[in-house]
Amino acid sequence: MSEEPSSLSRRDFLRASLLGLSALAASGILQACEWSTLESSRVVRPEAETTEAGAAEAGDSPPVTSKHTFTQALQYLIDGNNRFVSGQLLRPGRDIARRTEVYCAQTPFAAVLTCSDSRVPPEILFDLGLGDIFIVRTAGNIAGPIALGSLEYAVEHLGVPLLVVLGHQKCGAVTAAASGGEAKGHIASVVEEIAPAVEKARSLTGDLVTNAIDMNILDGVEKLKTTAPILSEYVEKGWVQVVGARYDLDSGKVSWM
Amino acid sequence: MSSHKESRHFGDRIHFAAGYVADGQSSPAQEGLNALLEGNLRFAAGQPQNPHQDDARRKEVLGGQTPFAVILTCSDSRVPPEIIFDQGVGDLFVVRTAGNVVDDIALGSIEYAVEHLNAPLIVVLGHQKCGAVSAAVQGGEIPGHIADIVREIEPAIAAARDLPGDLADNTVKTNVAQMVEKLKTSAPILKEFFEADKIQVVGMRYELTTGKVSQL
Repeated sequence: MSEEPSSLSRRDFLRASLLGLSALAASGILQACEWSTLESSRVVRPEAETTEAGAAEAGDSPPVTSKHTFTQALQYLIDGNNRFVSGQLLRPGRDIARRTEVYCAQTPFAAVLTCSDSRVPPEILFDLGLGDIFIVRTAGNIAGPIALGSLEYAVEHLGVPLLVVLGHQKCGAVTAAASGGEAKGHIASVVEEIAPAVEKARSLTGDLVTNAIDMNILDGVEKLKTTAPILSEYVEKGWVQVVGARYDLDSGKVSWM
Repeated sequence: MSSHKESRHFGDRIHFAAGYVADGQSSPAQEGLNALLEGNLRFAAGQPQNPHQDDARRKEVLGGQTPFAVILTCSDSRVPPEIIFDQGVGDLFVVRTAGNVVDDIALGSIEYAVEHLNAPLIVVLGHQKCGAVSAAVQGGEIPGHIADIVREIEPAIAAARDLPGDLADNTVKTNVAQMVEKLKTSAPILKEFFEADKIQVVGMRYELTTGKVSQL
C-alpha cells in the first residue's frame, strides 16, 4: 500500500460517508430523493453524478470523482460566458425541476474563487444555474484559511476537476491595495494579501492596478496549487487543474490566463 | 413611500439610518430586505424576472457598484444568492464560504461593503442540508483547512444539542444566529456601524425543497 496513513484514513472516512449515504438510500430514508426522471431546463450539460472510485484504482483516482472532465468543465464556462456576452442567455437550471433534481446532493463541475463585487456574479456571467458551480467569494478573490477549506471540500468531497481563480477589471480591493494608505479593521488583512501582487506589478509597464489585478490572479492560482495537504496533492496527481481568469466589466468577457 | 427601486436608482439611501424612520416609511435596510423576500417569492414560484442581467445594466454599473445588500452565504452550488433572490448585476455584494463562516478575509470583505460601499443590510444565509455543517456534526478526523471551517461551526453544534429535532438542521440555524452575532459585534467597523444603526444584520435559512428563504 503506497498511501500515507493520513491520506488513507481520509479516504476511508470519505468512503464510509458515501457508503453510509448509499445505505440510507437503500433503506428508503432518502426515497424522496428519487426524482431523476423529472425534466429540467438543464440544457447545456450532460448528466452528472459523483461516483465512488473502485478500491483497486484507489491510488489512481480520487475517492470522489466527477463525471465531468477538466476540459468539459472549462468548455461549459467558456460557452456560458459567450452566451452572456452576446446577450443570448439560456438561464439554464434555474427552474423548479432543477431545484428538485439537485435536492439530494450537489455535483458541481467546477469551483470558482472570485470577488465579492456585486458586478461579478459568477452564475450570471457564466450563464449557469443551480448545482453547477461551487463558489467562494471574498473581496479581491483572496483565499484565507476558510476559503481554502471551502475549496478543499469542493475537490475532496465533491470531486470537481477544475478550480478557477477569477479576478476582474476595476477591482476595488486591488485598487485600495495599490493606492497604499491605511486600511481599517480586517480590510487590512485583505490588502496585506494583495500587497505582493502590487509589488510585482510595479516593475511592469502599463497601468498599475490592471497589472496588479493580473498578478493577484496568478498569485491566487499559485497559492491554490501549492496549499498542503489537500490541494497540492490533488494538483500533483492531476486530479484537479487550477486556472486563472479575468472578467472584463466593459465587455462582459472572461479571458483565460 | 419611496420604493426600493427608486431609492436604489437615485442613490440616496446611503444618507439614511438603517432602522425604521419615525414617519412609518421603511429604511433602506428594510427596503432591501423586502426586495430580497419579493425576489425569493418569484424564484420559488418559478416566475423570476431575471432583472439587471443585460448589457445596459453592465454599462450602468461600470463606474462603481452600489449593492443594496451584503449576503454571507454558503459556497454550495445549489445556493447562488443572485438566483434565489432573483437579482442581477450590481445588486448584491456576496461573500461565500463553506458553511457561511468567516475568517479575517471574509470579515474584511464585509467591512469593505459597509464602509466603502455604504451597504445598509447584511444577510447571513444558511441552508438546509449544508454539507459543511453535516461534516462538523458528524465529527471524526477532518483534514487540512476544512478543520478551520469545522472549528467555526462547533459552537453552533453545542448550541443546537439541547434543541428538539434534527441536530444538523438545528445547527444550520444556530450557526446562522452565531454568525449574525459575530458580525454585529465585530470590532472595529461592523460593531460601530451596527451600534450607530447604520446597518441591519439579518439571519435567514434557505430551503432546498421549496426554494423559499425564511427569516430566522
